[in-house]
Amino acid sequence: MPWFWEGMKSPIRTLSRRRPDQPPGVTPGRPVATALPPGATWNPGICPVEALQEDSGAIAVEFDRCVHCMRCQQPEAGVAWAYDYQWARQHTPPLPRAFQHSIHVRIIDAGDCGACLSEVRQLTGPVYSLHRFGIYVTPTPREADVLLAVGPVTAGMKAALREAYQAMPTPKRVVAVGVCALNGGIFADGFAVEGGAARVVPVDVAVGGCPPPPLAILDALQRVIGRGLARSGEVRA
Amino acid sequence: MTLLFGTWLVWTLLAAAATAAAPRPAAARVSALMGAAQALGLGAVAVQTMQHGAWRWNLWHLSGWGTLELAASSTGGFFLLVAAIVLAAVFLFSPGYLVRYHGEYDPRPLLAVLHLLLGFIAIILLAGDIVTFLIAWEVMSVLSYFIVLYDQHVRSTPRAAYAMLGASELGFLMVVAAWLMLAGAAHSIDFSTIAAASPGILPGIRWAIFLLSLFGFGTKAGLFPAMSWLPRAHPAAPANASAVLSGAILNLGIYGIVLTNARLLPLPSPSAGLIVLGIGAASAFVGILYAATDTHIKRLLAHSSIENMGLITIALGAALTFDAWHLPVLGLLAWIAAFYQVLNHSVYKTLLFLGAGAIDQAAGDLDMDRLGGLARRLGWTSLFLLAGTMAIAAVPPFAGFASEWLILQSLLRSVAIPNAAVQIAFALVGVVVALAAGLAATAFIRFYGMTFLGHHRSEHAAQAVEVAPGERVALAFLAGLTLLLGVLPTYVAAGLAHVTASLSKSTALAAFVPRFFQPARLPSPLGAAFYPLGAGIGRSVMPAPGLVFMHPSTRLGAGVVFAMSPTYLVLALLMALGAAWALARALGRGRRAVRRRPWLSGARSVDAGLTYTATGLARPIWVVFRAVLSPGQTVDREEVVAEHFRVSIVRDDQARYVVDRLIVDPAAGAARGLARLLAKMHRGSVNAYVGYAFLALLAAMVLVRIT
Amino acid sequence: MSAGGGARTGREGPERFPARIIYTAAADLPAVVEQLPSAPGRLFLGLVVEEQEPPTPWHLQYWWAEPDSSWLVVDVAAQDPSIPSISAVEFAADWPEREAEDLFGIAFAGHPQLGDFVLHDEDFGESAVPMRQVAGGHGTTAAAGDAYRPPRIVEAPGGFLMPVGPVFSGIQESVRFLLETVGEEIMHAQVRLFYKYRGVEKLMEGHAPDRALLLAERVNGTQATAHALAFATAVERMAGAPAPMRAQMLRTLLAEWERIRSHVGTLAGIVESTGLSVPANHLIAAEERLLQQSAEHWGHRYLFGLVAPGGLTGDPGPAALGAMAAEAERVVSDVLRVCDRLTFDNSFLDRLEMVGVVPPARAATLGLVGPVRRASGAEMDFRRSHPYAGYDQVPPAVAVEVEGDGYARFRVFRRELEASLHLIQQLVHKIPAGPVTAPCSPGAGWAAATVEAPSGALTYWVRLDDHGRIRRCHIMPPSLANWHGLPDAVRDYAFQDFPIILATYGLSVADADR
Ligand code: SF4
Ligand code: SF4
Repeated sequence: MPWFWEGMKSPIRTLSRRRPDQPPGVTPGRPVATALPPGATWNPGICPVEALQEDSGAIAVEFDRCVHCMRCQQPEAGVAWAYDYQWARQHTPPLPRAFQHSIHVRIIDAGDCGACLSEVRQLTGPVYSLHRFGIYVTPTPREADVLLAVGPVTAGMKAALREAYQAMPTPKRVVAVGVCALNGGIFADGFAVEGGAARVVPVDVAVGGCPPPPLAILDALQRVIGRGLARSGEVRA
Repeated sequence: MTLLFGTWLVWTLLAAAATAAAPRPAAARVSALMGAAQALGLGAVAVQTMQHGAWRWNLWHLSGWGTLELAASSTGGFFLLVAAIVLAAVFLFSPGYLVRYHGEYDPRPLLAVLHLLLGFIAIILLAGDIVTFLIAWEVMSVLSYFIVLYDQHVRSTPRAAYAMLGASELGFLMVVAAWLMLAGAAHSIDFSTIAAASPGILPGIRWAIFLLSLFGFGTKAGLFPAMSWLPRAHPAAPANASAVLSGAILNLGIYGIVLTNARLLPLPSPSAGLIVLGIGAASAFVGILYAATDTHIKRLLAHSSIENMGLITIALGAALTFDAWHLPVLGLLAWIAAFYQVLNHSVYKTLLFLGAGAIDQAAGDLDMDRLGGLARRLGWTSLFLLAGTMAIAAVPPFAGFASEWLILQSLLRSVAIPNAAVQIAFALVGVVVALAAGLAATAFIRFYGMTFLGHHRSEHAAQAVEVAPGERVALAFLAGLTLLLGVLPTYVAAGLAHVTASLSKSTALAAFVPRFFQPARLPSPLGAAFYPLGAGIGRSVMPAPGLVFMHPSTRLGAGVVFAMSPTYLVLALLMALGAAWALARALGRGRRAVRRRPWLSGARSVDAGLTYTATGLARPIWVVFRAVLSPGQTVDREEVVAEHFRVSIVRDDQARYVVDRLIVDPAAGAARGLARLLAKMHRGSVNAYVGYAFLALLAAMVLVRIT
Repeated sequence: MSAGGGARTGREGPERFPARIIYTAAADLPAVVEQLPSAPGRLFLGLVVEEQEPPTPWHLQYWWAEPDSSWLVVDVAAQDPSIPSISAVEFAADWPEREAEDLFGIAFAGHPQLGDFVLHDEDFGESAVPMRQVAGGHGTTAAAGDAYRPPRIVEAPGGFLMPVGPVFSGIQESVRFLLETVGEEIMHAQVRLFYKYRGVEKLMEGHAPDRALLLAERVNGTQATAHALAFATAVERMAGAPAPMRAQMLRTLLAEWERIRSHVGTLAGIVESTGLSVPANHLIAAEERLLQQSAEHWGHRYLFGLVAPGGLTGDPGPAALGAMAAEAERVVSDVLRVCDRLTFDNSFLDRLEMVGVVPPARAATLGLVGPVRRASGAEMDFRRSHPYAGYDQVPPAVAVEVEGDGYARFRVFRRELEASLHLIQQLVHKIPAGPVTAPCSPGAGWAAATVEAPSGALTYWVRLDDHGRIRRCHIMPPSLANWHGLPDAVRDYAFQDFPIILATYGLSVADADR
């Protein structure tokens, strides 16, 4: 009971979804395509995972590869960064309307480094408060509508991921969170690594980043039910 | 009637003889056919007796001594009917079941003994005098010893059977002593003469008779404190013998208590009923505690029999107390509850013991820790046993619910007794009954879940095969009865009110079961309360009594104290189920169910060792009641290699049965001390004690004759 | 390195890296280990295995940390992969030996539990030896082996094995628990790790250190700084070129900042496991605040991409440092307030006190590390005993509790928050001006570094080849040591205590699985 009063007394920490200017630090930002000054030379070797390419006078970003090594964020790298978090890309139509107000998510850790899972955990915390959107974490795939996979899918977790997907009732969607879950990320070449959730289950919504911040994951989950977050976020050169 | 019964006795002998003489392969079928007829005949005798009451048959007149005779009573008739039901199912079940002993034992002696046993049970229940009763009783005891002894190649069987015979003889001696005192004081061996003379007997002697007979018959019924033979005898006996033991023979102990205290001799004092109540409560508590934690199916059922005998005894105690306080209507309620419980228990316990036999036969094991998943292999058996499980767990609308509910209600009605101490005693016993009901539900959910559902825990459980059609018919018959007894409790109560008329001081069943036809005759608050409950529905089509139990408050205008109707409950349930089914169909049109592999938390496979066991499921109860079940009797032995690696932990649980630990062992210790004094007389063999029992009986008879 | 008969000792290793090395033949190994002069506070860190060219392809280094700021290495070179096990003498070597057996195919004679460990039987055949480099070739194909049957040691009427996981509960890392029981209390627990085995060490091979650094940071993303720091320190030691002073001090500040965040997360987990959601959410919000601050001042919420061999990749400037110190104080005092209220909450204390007790002697045998070890009475902290980065300038206060139960661990985590805040406040004033990066070009050779990660002693052992590329990197993570000790802590406690004991251990699966 004292904790109840304690809870009542403490300030509201939840981020308003209507505020366009979220506090700095909710997102690490990401590199975006940048025009090169005419005649400038630019070293593509700056990116350790070949996510940056020079393409007809501009730096093109293949964000699906980016592992957030932060090297191109240095001013001297000459790459613009956007501090947004609408990173999710949707490959398939959202779930039917009936799911608009309530979906259940089973989270599968398929070999993540801990950071992606930590961001998912934050999502359920008071600051992001996933529940206000009617999105709930469930311990069993039997009652899950959405499978949220993190990590590069290790040999040990491959079967578990597949089984979890098969155990879910239809209609169902898979959200791959983090560059690891997209394509294995930095671990892609490992002998014990499958290299992304898409190798095992059909991925419907993918959100890159290493790790993607909670708002980006929230964006992905909202897309599953056909909503998505409002566009915002500044671009800094 | 004497002709009918005489013919039946002849048929009984014929059945036994034909079974014994038939060629071995055919014997079981001969026995089943003749046994079915035998049970049917007995059923006819029983129903006749219940309806038309007393008949007499003088067997043998001993001049100056009295007459050995049969004198039927409706109470005896009721117990006869129960025995007939039990034995009918057992005879049907046996041919298929005994196949599993082929090659090891001859089925004929067992079956022949069963036929004879039924005969002697009938004689006990119809006996009209002390001597006939006791002789038949002794023969019955010895015969039941033989049926338990059947599987004698198993090492523990002879000891278990001896334990049973020993307990039985001890009880018998006490009964003999009590009744001889009674006969001596009443100067007759004839029940009706004794009943007439007994109110004049001195209170001290009445107390002695009361206590001796209560403990004596209690031993046969498996009541506290002489019950440790039961959980030993049952696992040793073949399933059909167990069914007879639990379904028919335990009841004889109850019959003895009823006979002594309600017919022959009024209670020595109103508080004596509380002793009966207390013994019942102790039995119910210890019985259900062990039932909830034991993993051997037959032992579990044996413990549960102790519990049920306890519940019956509680109801008897309540009935005797109410009668002693001159509350005949409440007395009637308790009498009905007691007899209802007797009937229900015999039906579902026979079903479950025979079902245990089917499980043993199909899977070769009775330890729930090694069973599991049998529903997939034994479809019918699991269905019938589901009915038995629901019944014994007192889940409406199956048998068990109505009777346990009535027992609880009759205890709660103790507020009518103007004595605070009695009220407190009743309330405490009520708590025990409620606890027992709760534990019984967990115990039998565990039984069913661990045996029939989930993953198999051993290879032989995975390979189980469904039992023979005859066995299934026997199970189906009993399963149907559990449903019938549960759905139509008011009809059963009407019959029981008739049966208990001679015991109870009231027949006013209408006080509890208002009739459809005379709502106007009811006290107005009751009538008013009973229409909104729907008790009037269908009164133009429904015959005879109503379908709702209710009890008006003794205070004026306070309305109905309780009301219950499994009949309407089942109707409502069926309607709800139907509606749900229709709704599901309407909503789910065009969709179909998909079967998927179970979700294993991401693991690749599960095997037998990874599923919860019956022991594990009972563990919380074990932890709570550790002090009763096993105080400090587990020892873990650990083996460590390479200094640090634990490679084995062996747990040894040497828990000893609480009654043995607290009462029997110390008593046996004291008795051994005494025995050393009388060492010359005692050889320690049970056979010798049987001899002593007979000698004592003869000596006493001579004594009575002289005085 | 020679494979001489009998043991001889020498002081070798790169500069600023005092390691006493004992060379011994395989056959003498147990005797040598047994005869090591006993030193209370010595800690087994791990076992490094390398495959080299014949004639003595098998090269093993057993690593201990001495309480006196040095390391002890027992070095074995052998011709064939049959080495006596030392786990009877040094129980903490149990899992490192199993790992080496699984990955290299070394048969540790006398070890009672080899097989299925890192490479699960369902996924890899018994013959797979993916870490071998010379003979046996690279990598392995995932040839499925037999279905795994967990070993069972309990013989009790009605005993069974209760499996939990690998996928369980709401948001949990993948790991499997096999709890042997007769119901209610756990008689024997086994932890099956490596569902998340990504083969990080193998992935590092052949890469330059700055690329391998990316992998090091992502071994355990929630303690990325500690991993990057250990890796960078080892590489710098090899190069003989320590990072500039400002970088060292900033690294210290980052490490403490990360410790605060990590401990707040652990405390949140403990509180959550006891079912008190209001304080748990308080702590989760505090953790988020720290994550946001990390991104605001350093760019990345988990501080990826900051620590690199040679120094740091960026310098936030004095204003940001001041803001961080102020924010750290705000968050920590908020968390401490919640923790102090918890210490008056009976329903919280009842669930922590006297559960999961590990007595000090047992903790030493198991080789536990970090806050868990300190809660069992050991003053073991590598920031003090083996100072690295700037810790010789700002020695931290070491929080020690003696009870070894869940509540003692809770108190250690709580007190370390205070100590870390204190360090940050000191550091802000002590950080000198100057560059934050210096050239670092290591040559061939090996070096190691141990840091005190938030969850305990973390050691990186790195060997570079002639081209300056990683030939072998071995990570000895703190969580592996503590996972090894978990079964002891949960034994004989009830099922419902299990998640609580687990939470008080503050374990990471990714850290142990690598
Ligand atoms: S932050 Fe991403 S895009 Fe930029 S260099 Fe690193 S990996 Fe490449
Ligand atoms: S994407 Fe990055 S943060 Fe997420 S699991 Fe992979 S390495 Fe860790």
